[in-house]
Amino acid sequence: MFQKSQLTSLESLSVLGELPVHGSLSLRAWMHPDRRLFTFLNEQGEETDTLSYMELWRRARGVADHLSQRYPAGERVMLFFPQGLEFIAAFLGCFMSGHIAVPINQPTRRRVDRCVKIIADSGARCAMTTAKVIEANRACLADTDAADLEWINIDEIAAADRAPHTADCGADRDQDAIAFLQYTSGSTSDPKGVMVTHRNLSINLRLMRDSWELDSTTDMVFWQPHHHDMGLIMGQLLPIVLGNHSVLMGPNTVVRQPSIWLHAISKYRATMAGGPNFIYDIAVERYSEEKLKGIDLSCWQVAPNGADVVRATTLDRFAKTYAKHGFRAETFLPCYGLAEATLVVSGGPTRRLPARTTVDVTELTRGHIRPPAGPERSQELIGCGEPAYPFEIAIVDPDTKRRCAHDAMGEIWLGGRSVAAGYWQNAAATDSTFRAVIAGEPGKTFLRTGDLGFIHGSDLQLYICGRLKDVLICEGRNIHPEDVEYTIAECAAEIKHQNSAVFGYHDGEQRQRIVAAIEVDRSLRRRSAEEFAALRGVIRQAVAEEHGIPLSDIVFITPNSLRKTTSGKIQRGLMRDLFLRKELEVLKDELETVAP
Amino acid sequence: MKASIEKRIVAFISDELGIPSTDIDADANLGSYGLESVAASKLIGILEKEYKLPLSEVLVFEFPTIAQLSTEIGKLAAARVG
Repeated sequence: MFQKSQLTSLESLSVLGELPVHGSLSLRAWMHPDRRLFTFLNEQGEETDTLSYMELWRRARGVADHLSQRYPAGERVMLFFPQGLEFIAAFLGCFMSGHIAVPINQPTRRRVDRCVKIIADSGARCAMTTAKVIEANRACLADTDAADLEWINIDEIAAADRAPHTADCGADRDQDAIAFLQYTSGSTSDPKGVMVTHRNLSINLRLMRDSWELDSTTDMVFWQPHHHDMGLIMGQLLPIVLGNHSVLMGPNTVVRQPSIWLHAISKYRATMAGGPNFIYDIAVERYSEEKLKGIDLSCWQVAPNGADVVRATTLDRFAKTYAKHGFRAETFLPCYGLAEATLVVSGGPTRRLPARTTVDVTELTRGHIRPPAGPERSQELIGCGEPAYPFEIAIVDPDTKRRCAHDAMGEIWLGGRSVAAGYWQNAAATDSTFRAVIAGEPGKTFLRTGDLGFIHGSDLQLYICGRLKDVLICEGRNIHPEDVEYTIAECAAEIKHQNSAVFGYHDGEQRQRIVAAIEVDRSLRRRSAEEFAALRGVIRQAVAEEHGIPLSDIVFITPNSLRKTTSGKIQRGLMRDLFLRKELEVLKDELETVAP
Repeated sequence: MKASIEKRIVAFISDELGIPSTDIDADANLGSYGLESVAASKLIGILEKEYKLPLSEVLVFEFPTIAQLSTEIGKLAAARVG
């Protein structure tokens, strides 16, 4: 390897920062073949599968050889994998053979439309999965436009019978070639595949490693799905670059039993574990002294909180609840990122208390960042970290395209080589999203994130204030739906966080109506119409008091019918469309008692 | 008289704020529906026209429920007629 018998740790750091991910795996399989890379836990928290660095390399190489014999390089390969350790071999196999991986959630009846649209958009002819689910997946697509997809069963592919050599490190690979397509953007009818290059990945992985001071000793526990950028890049690619041991499990495991996640952090002495804000909420709501007896979280140093709004109350409650288990509030790492920028954009400095600022809520809704005029108008915001090198963050007025000063709210624009190459075969969307130019600053293009935020002058942290497109404008004020949803969850014990969607529409007279679609659990199903009416009253009052806006319609929908992205973000636009088409799964009892 | 005024206010709130009239309680505070100053002012305007009364905008704050507001307007209307 590299005409050398060994590499010093600094040499390997600089090599690993440059190589494509499959090259890092090759190098590590050469340096420490038998070191444990992944351990998978099932829904009971039991170890059911493991992979060493060499085992993963051989399996991935086997996939690459199989693909190379059948499909020309550059072809897209759909990856429909259940949670487990089979996925990562398929994914890196595509990297090795120069095929473009398209990892998405397995098709189900509810997701089949989106799935078929993505297959068509990517132009993939073949799909890979495991023996266990191949027939179910094929059947799901049987009567669709994707019925003739060619299926590859990964369990029938033999692992390569050799060890990696220098050429396997891919040092001569075109780093600007597309590594995979990330389909987390766009609506169901108009999916957009973010083209992530090998260079994008190398830069973003190095950025996490360096700005959060991670190395081969910082083991991780992750549960986010691999068809989502955070679960894929942070949960499954970062360990390879770091050379650590990472414990993986499925999202259902953690959402159903957060104690399994916390037990794993304690048992495997993880340095890093995290997820979107809601996971910390669930961990508090489901806290049980009995179930968490004896866990020790003092090993936990980096707890990323990203992909959704980071709430001060969530952090405070979690820190308070878990302090007795050795959790330190300095562990929280609020961060910000998006698929269009590969993954992480800002986060840190690590191992210190998250930055906070208190602003005037009324001024905030008008786009101004000011100290609160009084205690009743104060809102606490959490800083989502300083821009991670080499990102450049610009806050830009979305209408005038002029750069905003510190402490002024605007759209977050990003520059730097971790910004992805664009949307797959969608020149118009690529142009409008990835090629934005700041007024008066020609010659340099930026990515428009569609997110609103500001850079706080006193701490240089990025603060996120919501999504441009979900924002409701009520009498000239901006109202962020996530804030209203938060109020709804806080006002009634029956309603959980992340279980409602607030969105607006304009009625026939162009008047804005704001709707809350609220998912309720089974305990509420047997309630009387009067009790539902009373609950609507409580919700309206809380929202009116907190935000000064009327909720027009409040609809209670059946369990699991709130539409969310794979990462758990609420799909407000989709919910609005369903509402307007009267296709929401409204709770039956309520329908019968309320409908005329 | 009071019942018809109540009905008129409920109809206004339902139309202005888009809230189903079945969800509107005559004894709940108007503010609890998100009736803010702009809509309150509109309501006063409508009641003035409907009952041909000069009304103060602070009436909504002094008589903050539909029932109380209707009673008061009923009294004012009766006094004017009388």
